Amino acid sequence: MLTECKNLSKSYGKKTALDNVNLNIESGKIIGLLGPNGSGKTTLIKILSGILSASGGEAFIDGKPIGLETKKIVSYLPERTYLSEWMSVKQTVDFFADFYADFSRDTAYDMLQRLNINPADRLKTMSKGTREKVQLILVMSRNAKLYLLDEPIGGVDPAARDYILKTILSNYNENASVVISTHLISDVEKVLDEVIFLKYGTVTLHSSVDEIREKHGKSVDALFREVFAC
Amino acid sequence: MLGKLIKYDLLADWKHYMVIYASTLLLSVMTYFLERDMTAVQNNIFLLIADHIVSAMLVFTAFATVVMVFVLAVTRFYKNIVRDEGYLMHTLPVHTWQLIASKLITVYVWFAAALAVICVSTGILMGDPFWLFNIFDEYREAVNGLGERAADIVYEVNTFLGYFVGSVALMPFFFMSHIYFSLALGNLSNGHKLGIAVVMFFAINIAEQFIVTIIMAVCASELITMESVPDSTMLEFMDNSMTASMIVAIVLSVGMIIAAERIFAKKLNLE
Repeated sequence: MLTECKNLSKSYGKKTALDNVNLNIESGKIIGLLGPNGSGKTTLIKILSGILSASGGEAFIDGKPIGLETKKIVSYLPERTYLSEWMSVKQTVDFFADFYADFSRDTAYDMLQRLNINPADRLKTMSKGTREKVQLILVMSRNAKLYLLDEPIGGVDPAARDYILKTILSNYNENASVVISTHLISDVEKVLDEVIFLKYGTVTLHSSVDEIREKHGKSVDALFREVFAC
Repeated sequence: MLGKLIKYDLLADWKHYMVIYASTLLLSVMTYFLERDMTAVQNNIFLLIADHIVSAMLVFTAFATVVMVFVLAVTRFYKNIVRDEGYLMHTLPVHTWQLIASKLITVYVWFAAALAVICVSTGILMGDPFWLFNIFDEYREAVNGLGERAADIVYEVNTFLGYFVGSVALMPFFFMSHIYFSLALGNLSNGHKLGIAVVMFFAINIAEQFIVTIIMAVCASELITMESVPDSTMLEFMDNSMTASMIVAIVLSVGMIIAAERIFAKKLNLE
């Protein structure tokens, strides 16, 4: 098992964001972490990436508790821009290469070239969308075991969405897993192997996409709309 | 990994520092040339105005050289560790203590550079690049001239100078430890993190002043019962209270750095 959550909980004061989440994620899968706003998707991803401490329970990645060792094998894309604005694109590539042993400069420069992003450009001068693309390129240029992508297609246009999904599909290895958090289900459905539905911080469904289609006779998008209907 | 972190911390702000350091040095050179012939300056209203402006700017930039070190260091720590950039920094495969150590070492590098710039700038103004070494030599000669009869006074002056140099050297450590700890405490909150950090910063300083005052009072308790205080006792009191205050400040600062590291490592709570 690549990722294991045992009774994972997180509270912000009186508000419970995650409530006893038990979850197992296998290697070699693309998993959609789906749920409406405030369902706990980002909280779960933050805990797995080591950005947030859980209030209770445990989480393991590749058999190790969240910490320094798991950071070496987890590639995390947050929903916000986290690169320093003073850097040029080349410097961000150097930065990732300096700190992550599994980072491939060649992959990064190849993707930058395909997107017509000049490595000499400073992030300060780039649009938010381009900066997000640079971030995705850096994250996907790692040969990680687990990719945690929080809303990777949330802020970009439909054409860029296709490119991002293509990038994700073509850059992760078969021993790795990709967790994609999103509420744009119809866009990602075609690439997913499994889905996890989160509602009020609890897992309400964890199933393969094929199983959903067979069992419910519906697409993931249709089932999502039914389950989370207001 | 610590070396790599320091490299990027130095790269982040070097341009800002270079601008202010270069400005200070340039203004020193301008002031030196303007004031080389003071009679000419006194007789020319334009030169006099220019001299006043350049001198005022020099005082301002010299002051800013040191202040900027701390302003940029605080801003950098806040943006890089607590705000959005923290999402990258805290997911790097490095220890939390390395993140903090890198920031602290970087502050020391820029602080040392700022002091060096001020020394060079003073040397330019005095027309003597080795003024600092000359002052030491002159002091040593003066002390030797006094001989054994002034041994007590020399000891006290040396002790005071020791405290002064020690305080200046430890200033970045004292200040930044308070900042790191305050921001770490603010990070524990689920809202108004910066506001809470600011309140904590003042609360910590007030509490620290309270502790130091108590220590001074304890050191002075013997003096209160005396009808007249001999000079030697007074000097001993000053030595003891300064030593005690320094030790307390070091212990508290080390404690705050460790506490900040523990909070960021175990209770990280980025927005």
